[in-house]
Amino acid sequence: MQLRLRPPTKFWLPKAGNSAEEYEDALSVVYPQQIGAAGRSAARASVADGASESAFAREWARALVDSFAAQPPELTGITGESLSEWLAPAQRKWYDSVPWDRIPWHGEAKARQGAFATLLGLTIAAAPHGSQGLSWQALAVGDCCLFIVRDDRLALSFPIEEASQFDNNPALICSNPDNAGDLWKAVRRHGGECEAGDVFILASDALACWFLAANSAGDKPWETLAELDSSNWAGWIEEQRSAGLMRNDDTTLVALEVV
Amino acid sequence: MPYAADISRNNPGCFLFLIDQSGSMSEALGGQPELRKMDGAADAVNRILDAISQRCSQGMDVRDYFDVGILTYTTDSSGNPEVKAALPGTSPEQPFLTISQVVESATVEDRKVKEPDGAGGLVEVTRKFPVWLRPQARFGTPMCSALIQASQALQNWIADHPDSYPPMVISVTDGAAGDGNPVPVAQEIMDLSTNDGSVLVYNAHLSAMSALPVQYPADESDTPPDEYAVQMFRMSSAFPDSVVELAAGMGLPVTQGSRGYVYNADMVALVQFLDIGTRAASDLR
Repeated sequence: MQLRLRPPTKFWLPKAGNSAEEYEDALSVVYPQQIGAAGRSAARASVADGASESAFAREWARALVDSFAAQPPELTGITGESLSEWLAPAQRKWYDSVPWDRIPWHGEAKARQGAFATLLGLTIAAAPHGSQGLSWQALAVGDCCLFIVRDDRLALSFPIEEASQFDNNPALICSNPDNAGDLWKAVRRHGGECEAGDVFILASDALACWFLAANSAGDKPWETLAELDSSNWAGWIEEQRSAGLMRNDDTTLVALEVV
Repeated sequence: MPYAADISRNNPGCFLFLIDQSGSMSEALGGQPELRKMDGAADAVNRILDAISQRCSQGMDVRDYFDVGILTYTTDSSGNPEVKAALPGTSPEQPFLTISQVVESATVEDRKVKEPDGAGGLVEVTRKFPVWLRPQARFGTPMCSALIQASQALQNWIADHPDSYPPMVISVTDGAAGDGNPVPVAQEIMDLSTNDGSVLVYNAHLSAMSALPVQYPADESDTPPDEYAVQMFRMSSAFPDSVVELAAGMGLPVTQGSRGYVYNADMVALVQFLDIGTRAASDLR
């Protein structure tokens, strides 16, 4: 039987104290009726987290996930060079979004430096050779995480595996190509075959850290997330924050189930 | 867990500057005869406030992650203490503005500076410099009166922000208190606390002696030979573990037990010793 995806779950909430306009994560999901072999015919989801200390970070996170939705990079054969080429349109879009002639003094140096964001991108495409299967590919820079739940256990945690590995200095992609540093060194990739029943969860760092801590404690955090809907998501996040179980930060979740 | 409070608009941090404007601040700075101590003091405040503003900047706007106050102190010609709040619309009892109000109150000057041109040379560019405090120096040094005033202002702030990251006091002086021993008064300030830890007192010591600059010593024996250095070391808080970890990670000369004390040296790095969110990699200076 042909594997397919259920309609995705998407939730987000700004850091407590910030307005929706100040939310600096971003997400995109493209979910084609017929999943094809690659590129625009693949299903794709991405989550980016603009570094709160950089300027115009929200615009940069948005530009990254929009680029991923419009045309994801070719993940199988990706190189540092092809990644830089893939980033260029998003970098131009960010540059054009900055009102350079109106930036006040406190924002000048940061804007010149460029905005920074983490990115996690996932593509799910028809497996090659005409099989009925689906395969997945993921790319990560920084600490937005992909979890794969299979047979009621956490089968993959990528690129971070332990809650203790989160800090305030994740690898970041810069909107200014001159400040990109050795981005390729920071790129993590993974991929594999999909199985019926697989749940792919994409989470920005605060939620991912909560998820890994709960999993280590022997809980099944995916069951908790599966119970969330648009009516109880915000309240549930706020409860975790107040209880000190989740860092107060922009929070984003995308979940895809293979059936 | 102390010194772990989330610094956010709901739960802002706090900086209170204490600036010595007594007559001795008109002396030349050690090793930099073209600069007076009062120039160094105004420069320290302006540069630290610039750094705080930039850290809170999102590009167009500034997020109110901090409240900031400035108290200056001198005496009148008869020796009566004068402790004043320097930010517009504030008072010695309530010297604080939010950082966005502080940003609004800056006088912005264009200055020409030389920057690397990316090809190994330097190029002159015009950059904007915000100014809040101008150099001033006259009469006596009522440091104890200023510390007592600071203590009252901090008690008010803490009552309104019991769960915030503890206030940080940045005192800029040459150390010659004229109204008694300031150490016990500074100790009283360090004994004030929020639920997240005790108030941190940091000292930028400006001296006419041209000894080598000192940053963040951990031991009294590492202080410079200035007559007030030991006293000022004792008035300076040891950095909390979380700060030591962050600062050491930035490659700064901070070890376990290091105190918030610098001597004829830059203190702007202090602003980086706080977590307010995901850092941009090249911000780590």
